[in-house]
Amino acid sequence: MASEQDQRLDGIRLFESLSPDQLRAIERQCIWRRFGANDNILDQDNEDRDVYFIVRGTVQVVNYSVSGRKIALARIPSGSYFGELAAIDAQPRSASVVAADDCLIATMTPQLFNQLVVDHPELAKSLLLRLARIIRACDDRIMDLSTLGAVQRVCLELLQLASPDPGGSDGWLIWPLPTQKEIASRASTTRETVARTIGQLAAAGIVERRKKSLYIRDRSRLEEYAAAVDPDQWSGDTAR
Amino acid sequence: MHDEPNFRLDGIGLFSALPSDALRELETACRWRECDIDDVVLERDSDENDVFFIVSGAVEAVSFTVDGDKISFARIEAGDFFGELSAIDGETRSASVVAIEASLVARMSANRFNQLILVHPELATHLLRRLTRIIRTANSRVVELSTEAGG
Repeated sequence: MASEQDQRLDGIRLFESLSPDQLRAIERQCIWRRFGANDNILDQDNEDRDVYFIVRGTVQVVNYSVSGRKIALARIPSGSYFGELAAIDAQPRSASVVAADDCLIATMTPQLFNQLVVDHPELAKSLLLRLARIIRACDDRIMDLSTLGAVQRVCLELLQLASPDPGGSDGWLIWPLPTQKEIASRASTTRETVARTIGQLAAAGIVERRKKSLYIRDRSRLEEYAAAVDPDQWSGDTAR
Repeated sequence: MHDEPNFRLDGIGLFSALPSDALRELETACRWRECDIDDVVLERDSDENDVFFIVSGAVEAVSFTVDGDKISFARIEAGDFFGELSAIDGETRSASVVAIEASLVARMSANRFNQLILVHPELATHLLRRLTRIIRTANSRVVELSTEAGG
């Protein structure tokens, strides 16, 4: 069990506007628990609607696709919290949460959480700001994922346009290289996506632009990109 | 049918818990605009942070591709509002909004909106539920797209 002096909410940023007396009163109404690395803290199917405050440690929010693939949604550090969506709308959890290292967690009932929000408007404001940021991050991620298909199609077009180098090397090339607008039209995407994709492929050493030709330096990697097994291959920093 | 514009906020769902004298005061604090079809109500990337209430009519959040094609995101009906994210976080607009019917729109400054939330906790609760619903929809979309991408 956690020792008494550990059980403090002073480091939780949501509560930074509250007085020490108010914090002590809230701490007594929380349930305190410790978790080790990889322990399940919150399962997607849990019936509770509690809010979880990370007093110490880091947690990982995960989701599972229909096929069982694990999708990392976010890492949440100490001082922050999770589970607030279910406390607000009483709907089932949207994700599971696993401890990334040793964690000390305080949980609070939805009744207490919602009462605090009503009693302390500054908490409501802080919470609104947090939700607004989550929405913007989600929108960015949706934009990334939506254009992913287009990037794959551009890679596929490049593969289809490529023929063995008549110059005798065992490489492949596209000659003459169609305009970006033509490639965009074939791949049903925008000229900007074509430019960005070719730029990324060139930076990765997979293709090389020379005058009116595009040399395919690494055909197997281009094929991998066209198949895009892993979306993070394209954007490493968007996982929330 | 062409009624005189009714500069009242009584039909706005967010304000359903407010007493009528509070509503009358808010109505005078708003700037009002009668929009025709295709009028731009809000420009993407504009740097004001106002909140817009649709008193009558309907508007649509849109984005434009490089070719000038219009992509519609969401239809916003009378009684609803938009622009609250920028009022809350001070960031720029993520989409433009155009009228798709003749509409009466009331516009409130971010300061006034935020002050209102502080004074009326039930508005904050209403907003929290709304943003939570938006997040849940977006999260399902992320999972859906990630699954498609993963094959």
